[in-house]
Amino acid sequence: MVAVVNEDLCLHCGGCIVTCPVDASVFHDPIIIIDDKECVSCGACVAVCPTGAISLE
Amino acid sequence: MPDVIVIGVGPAGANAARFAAREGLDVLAVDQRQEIGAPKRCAEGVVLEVLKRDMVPEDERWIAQRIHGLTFVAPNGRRVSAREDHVVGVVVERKLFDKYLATLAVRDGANVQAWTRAESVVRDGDTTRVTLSSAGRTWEEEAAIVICCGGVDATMARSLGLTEPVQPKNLSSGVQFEMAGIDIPDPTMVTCWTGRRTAGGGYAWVFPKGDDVANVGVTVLGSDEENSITYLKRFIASEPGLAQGSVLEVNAGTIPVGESISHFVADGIMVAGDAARQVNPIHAGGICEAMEAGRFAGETAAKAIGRGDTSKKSLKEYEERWSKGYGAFQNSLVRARRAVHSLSDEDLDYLITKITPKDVVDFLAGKGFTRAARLFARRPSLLKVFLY
Repeated sequence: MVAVVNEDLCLHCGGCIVTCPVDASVFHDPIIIIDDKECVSCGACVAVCPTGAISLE
Repeated sequence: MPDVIVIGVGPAGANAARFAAREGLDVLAVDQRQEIGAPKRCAEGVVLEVLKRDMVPEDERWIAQRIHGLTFVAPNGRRVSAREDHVVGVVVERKLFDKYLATLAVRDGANVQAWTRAESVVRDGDTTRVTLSSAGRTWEEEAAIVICCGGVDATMARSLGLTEPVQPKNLSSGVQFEMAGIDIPDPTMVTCWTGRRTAGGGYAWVFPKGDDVANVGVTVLGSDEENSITYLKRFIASEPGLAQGSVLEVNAGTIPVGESISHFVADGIMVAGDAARQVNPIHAGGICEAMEAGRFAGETAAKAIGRGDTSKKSLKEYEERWSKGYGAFQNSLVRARRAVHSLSDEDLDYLITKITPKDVVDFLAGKGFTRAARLFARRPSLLKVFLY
């Protein structure tokens, strides 16, 4: 399982970048990308996302 | 070669650049955004006292609303207000306010460049090398000191090992609508709602920006059950004055509400603002903290360069000034926030019936803890807060 961003819901606040323990989440102007090879499925970004744009799939 | 490079021109960076330039330093301040101040990630409240202390003349262009006080709403709907006859704060238009702070920095001699991104920062002997890029061009600049004010993402501070990822329990996740066509009983008052159902371990707010316009938002902890937009939509639907309003802007932001980072300085490097997690953990506001930290950092940079020593030891003065004025207070508020978070809605209702307007004023000023302790001691279920 890895964290996946739903771009329709993302407000680009960067919360996932701030909390990601392995730097898998990066701001790739204008969207946020989570690198599925780095993701350790910890769910921190899912917890802090204000719009529920991130899910573990 | 500039004496100082400031990375990020929000309230921390603008003030760091300004107060270093005022002392005669050659300052370059860069911001990766196309527009300084935008997009806003903020409820836009600023305390008047801090504007005075940081020598920011009031300007009608960025003052959206003058504020006289604050109303708390308990989970059971009971309200307690603290209102002063004089203006205590302003709700600003951040897009104009941040640009104004940057303009003050420029007037004091700093060179500010938007749409210029810092790619890396490396300390090399007595200088710090910064790789910058803009419009497809990449180049290097050297400076004696680099001040990292890159906001909550803190990319550069993180690459230097000065900060690390923030755990969800110490992150407040906020969503806000700037609304028009709403009913605001008194536009000179900021209103905050508490309670599990309304805002989990955070709070909901209305920060007026005129008679019928306001920032309406909710911030919850990353560890709270639902995401903040769910709370916000439910809150707006449940408030008769807001439900019919229009949405002009949708803002989202993540706010560090734990302790600040442990070290704000390294050889030739300083960190200020959200990047250093200098935020009031109770209300999650950070503009004032950032402005003050920026000023301390800028003034310290000037002194350090004046004595020809930009080592970590020489820059410690900034860290000490921060700790004395804000740091110790912030860390005690973190404990207070954790304690409040542990309370049930019934406990919050009880507390809000017992507090007076003066308590609210004292609390916001960081005073009145003895009285709070006495209030808490009278209700056994509140005693657990002393465990925090």
